[in-house]
Amino acid sequence: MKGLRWIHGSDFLVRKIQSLSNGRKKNVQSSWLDSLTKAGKGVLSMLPVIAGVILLLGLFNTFVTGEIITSLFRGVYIFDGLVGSLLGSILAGNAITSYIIGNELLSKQVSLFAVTTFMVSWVTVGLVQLPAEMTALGKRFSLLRNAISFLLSFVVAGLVTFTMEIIA
Amino acid sequence: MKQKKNKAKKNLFGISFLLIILCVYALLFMMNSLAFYQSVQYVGNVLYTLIPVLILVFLIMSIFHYYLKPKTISKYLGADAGWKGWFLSTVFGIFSHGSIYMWYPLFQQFHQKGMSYGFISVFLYNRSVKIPLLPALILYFGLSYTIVLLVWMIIAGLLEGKIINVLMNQSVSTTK
Repeated sequence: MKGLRWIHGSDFLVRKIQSLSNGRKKNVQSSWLDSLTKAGKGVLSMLPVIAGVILLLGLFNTFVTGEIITSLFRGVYIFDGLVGSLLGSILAGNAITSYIIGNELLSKQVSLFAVTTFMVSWVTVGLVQLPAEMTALGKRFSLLRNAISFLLSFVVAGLVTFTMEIIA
Repeated sequence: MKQKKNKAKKNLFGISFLLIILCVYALLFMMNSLAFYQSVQYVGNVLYTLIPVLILVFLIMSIFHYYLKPKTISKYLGADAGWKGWFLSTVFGIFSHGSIYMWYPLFQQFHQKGMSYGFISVFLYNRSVKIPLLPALILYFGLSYTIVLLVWMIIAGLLEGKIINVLMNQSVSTTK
């Protein structure tokens, strides 16, 4: 009788453990699925804007050539800095493109200050990406971030030029 | 309810933005087919390099969703994270890979879980420090220029984060 009770008890325990582990498995599976779904939704909701930004980059790449960019610099220190910063903010693409154009500008006697504003704003300010940034992170944050980055491109360029003059 | 409305607004904006650009492409095809093909070729090249990054971002987002709870994000990247937050967002920014817009969905979710705007801007600013492209920068502008530029950019990134934190907190307190 005692033995039967023990068997019944252990059977109950085994079933309890099985149901608990099944429940946990289900919980783990559902939370993994939940994480994947949430991440998928996050990426999918951004896809139209990201696709738009990439298509816009294609247009810029075709119509704005290195020659057009070089022709905009006039040899006036502050004016060139402003042009560099504006161009860097509008244009986008791989940073290496900005190095190549920057090097070309230096060879055409454009100041290091203007070249640096151009390269810094190229990688820190993104007018083309702004719609995507505003959609994901909010209008106020995106506009503030890009405006501060634009102003900082002058500060960084000034400090870099100053430091380089001291080193030289 | 308000969140749903905002989401719908954002989706509508994204789709209309894409449609406008597609219309420009359609016009370009009719007016200048050579420029159209050049642009499409560039887009194809960009997509080829971006798709693996998008998959990587999706995987990172899933893993973070599963393992990182809002409490953890708030602790390390929240408004009160202190120097750990500044350090982590700078390092993650420097070592992150791919185009900037690929990271927006991830930071959208991080912010919802408690990451401060200051740290997001530090991350985004430091993405401009591109480790794989350093040899090219050195080749074109020399080692000393590269070092000077990178040091000032990291400092500027931290400064931007501080300014953003102040301005965004101000906007929150005024709306309250």
